[in-house]
Amino acid sequence: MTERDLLNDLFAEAQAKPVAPSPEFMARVLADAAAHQPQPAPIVRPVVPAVARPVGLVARLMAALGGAAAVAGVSSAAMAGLVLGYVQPEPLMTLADSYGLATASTASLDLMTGYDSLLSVESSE
Amino acid sequence: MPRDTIAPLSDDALLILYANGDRDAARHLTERLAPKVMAYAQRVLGDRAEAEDVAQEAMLRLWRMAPDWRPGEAQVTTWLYRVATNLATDRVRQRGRRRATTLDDAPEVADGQPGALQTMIEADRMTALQAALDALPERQRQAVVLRHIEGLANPEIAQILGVGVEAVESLTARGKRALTALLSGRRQDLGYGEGE
Repeated sequence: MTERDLLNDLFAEAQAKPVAPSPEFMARVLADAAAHQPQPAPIVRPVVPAVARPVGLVARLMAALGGAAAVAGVSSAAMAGLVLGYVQPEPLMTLADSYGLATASTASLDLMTGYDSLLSVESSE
Repeated sequence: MPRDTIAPLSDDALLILYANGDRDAARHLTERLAPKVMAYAQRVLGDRAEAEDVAQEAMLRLWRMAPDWRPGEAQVTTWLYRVATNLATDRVRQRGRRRATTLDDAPEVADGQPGALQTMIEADRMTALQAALDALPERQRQAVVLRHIEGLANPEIAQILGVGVEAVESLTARGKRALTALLSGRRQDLGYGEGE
């Protein structure tokens, strides 16, 4: 073995068995890493500015009547009046009679003139 | 990010993850780089406590620099070796004298069992190598350690030492010649027979 071979053997041995770091040293390096690690920036939701929408005619009318609830109440009352006016249920007429509100002859509206005669012709055939 | 997912990543990628707050990346980088830089510092300085200080400081500078790291511009290991080299040079200048270890500090091989004997011979060889390295001029020692123990290529060593590739070749060649001279006549002391 020459002196140069000896040196190469020593280099190979040093490469094969590197100096092992102590656990304390590794812990100190890790502690430094934790202490100096940048923190991730918090996620900030973008603030969307409120867009003013144009107010329509219906919306303004509803607002004038007191809002959606008031409009619903008025509509329901109107529908109920219409139904009671046309159907004229017996208890209601009795109640009206007791108050002297009923008339001798009740006005009626015939929306389908000739329907009764058509029915009588068909039934006779 | 789970450790097994980031384990195959490059040093570059791990450093970016570290800068983004990934703690596993910090652990991977530490396990990968700290032993290397520590071993290099010890070979160059010949003193474990000083080597740990230098290696810790080099790693600390890496952590601080991480947010500004630009991937692809340089290798993380090259950057780290360069920082460690500069820190080690400062240390040597501060203490102003060579370490006291000489070839005579290598322990005598004592009689004992074969396993213990082999361990002592190996320890003796590493002590002898370190003593010979310590006897080299600083730049030669750095170049020889980087080339023949850390196994780096000459262009990378040139970047670390801030010199040209030809200068690296010259430093390592002169360093090896000096080491050969320092170790001449030590074959039998170091457990190598004449016939090996």
